[in-house]
Amino acid sequence: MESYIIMCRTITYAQRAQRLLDRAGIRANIVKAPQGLTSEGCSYGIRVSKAKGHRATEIMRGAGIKLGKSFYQTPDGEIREIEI
Amino acid sequence: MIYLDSAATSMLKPPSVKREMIEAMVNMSSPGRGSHPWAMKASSVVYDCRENIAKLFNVDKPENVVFTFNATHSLNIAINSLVTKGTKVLVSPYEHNSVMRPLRAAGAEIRVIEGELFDNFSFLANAEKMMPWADVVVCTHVSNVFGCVLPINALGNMCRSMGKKFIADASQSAGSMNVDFAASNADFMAFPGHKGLLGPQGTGVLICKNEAKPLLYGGSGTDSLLPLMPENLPDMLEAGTHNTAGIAALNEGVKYVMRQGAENIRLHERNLLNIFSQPLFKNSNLRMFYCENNAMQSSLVSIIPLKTNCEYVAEKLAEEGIAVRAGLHCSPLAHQSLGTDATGTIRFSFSPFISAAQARTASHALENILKKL
Repeated sequence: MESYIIMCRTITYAQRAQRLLDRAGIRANIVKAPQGLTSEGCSYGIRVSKAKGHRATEIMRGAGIKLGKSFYQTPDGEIREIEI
Repeated sequence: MIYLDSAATSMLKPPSVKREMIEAMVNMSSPGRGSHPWAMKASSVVYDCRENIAKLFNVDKPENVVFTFNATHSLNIAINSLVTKGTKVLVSPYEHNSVMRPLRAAGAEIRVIEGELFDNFSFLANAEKMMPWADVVVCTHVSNVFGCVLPINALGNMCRSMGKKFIADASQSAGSMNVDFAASNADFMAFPGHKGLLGPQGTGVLICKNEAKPLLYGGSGTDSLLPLMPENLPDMLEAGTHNTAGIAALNEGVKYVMRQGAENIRLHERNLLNIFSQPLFKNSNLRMFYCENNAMQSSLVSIIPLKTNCEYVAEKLAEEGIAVRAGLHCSPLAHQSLGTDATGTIRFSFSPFISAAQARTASHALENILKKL
């Protein structure tokens, strides 16, 4: 599945994001980001389907959740940074 | 046993508290330390507790709810964030050593707001007069010795309007009455998980309006390459592995309080206090610190026996299966303020799981012990 990984810095933000998105009908999984995606070391983010990425970002920003970088992940696991 | 020492620790808990603690020990590992199901389950339950506490205390962001090991730990973080050598700090006359000792250790200049017991009008008037001098104000919501309820919301408003920082200690009120963080205008609010919130020992909470200064440094599970702690709440203040089992159990205590309603708990406990106290009003063998105004005193009352020491009476009560606490209750300032530092007091504190019959039994037992002296 094509998906977006949106970094949330802390697992607490990721959980808040997941619950907000769930209430908005968007399925999101919390993921521990692969090393190298951020410059600060271990980090958490949420994974949503490509189709829901923009809406999810809007909802999270609207709720004041501090977001980090966003990434596009191909079905075969390749990851590249994107702007949402 | 009739347990009337809930102001120290609530021993009587909802059964779900113990169940969830065992569940956590069996099925949960460390929150924020992995992505396997056991770590994610722990993360989910810890976040659930954060969210429930945010709802119960009217905090807009769950991440501003920080888990600590007890209220003392929370107060130390708050004081460490706002107070350095020479900081001018106003305190209520009822502050616990968990406030006074860290303030002294930080080198604060301390002044005590004067006021008569159960007289919040004079307390606020004196606070207003002294406020221009202060940088920071620390005030307990409820005295752990006398049960007097202090006007933290009015004091917080005063601090806000005069540009002062405010730390509220809700150790005796959290879970036992409505406590509203937003209405208090506090920069920090500290409380334990093991008293009115009915969780286990080893759990505490610090609600932060903004970021704070870490007291402990260590692993945070995220931002590991940063040389110091992460800059985001709650991670910046939660160094080291969480007390997952404790927090999971605390979550059940918080849910119980939410189901019952903190105001209903306050009414129940205050009714018990009245049932206990009323037969003792005319007893000439004791001095009792009781306020008829139900809004001015929480669910604890202190007495001093006039013919013997407090510890002796507490021991006799324990022999009859009644658990109370005698002494200074770690609040020498409160006793100095009321002149009870030479004797201490015997404190009777009630909880949601005490019945009216038990309150009556305890009152009669006390009467009988005093009669025999």
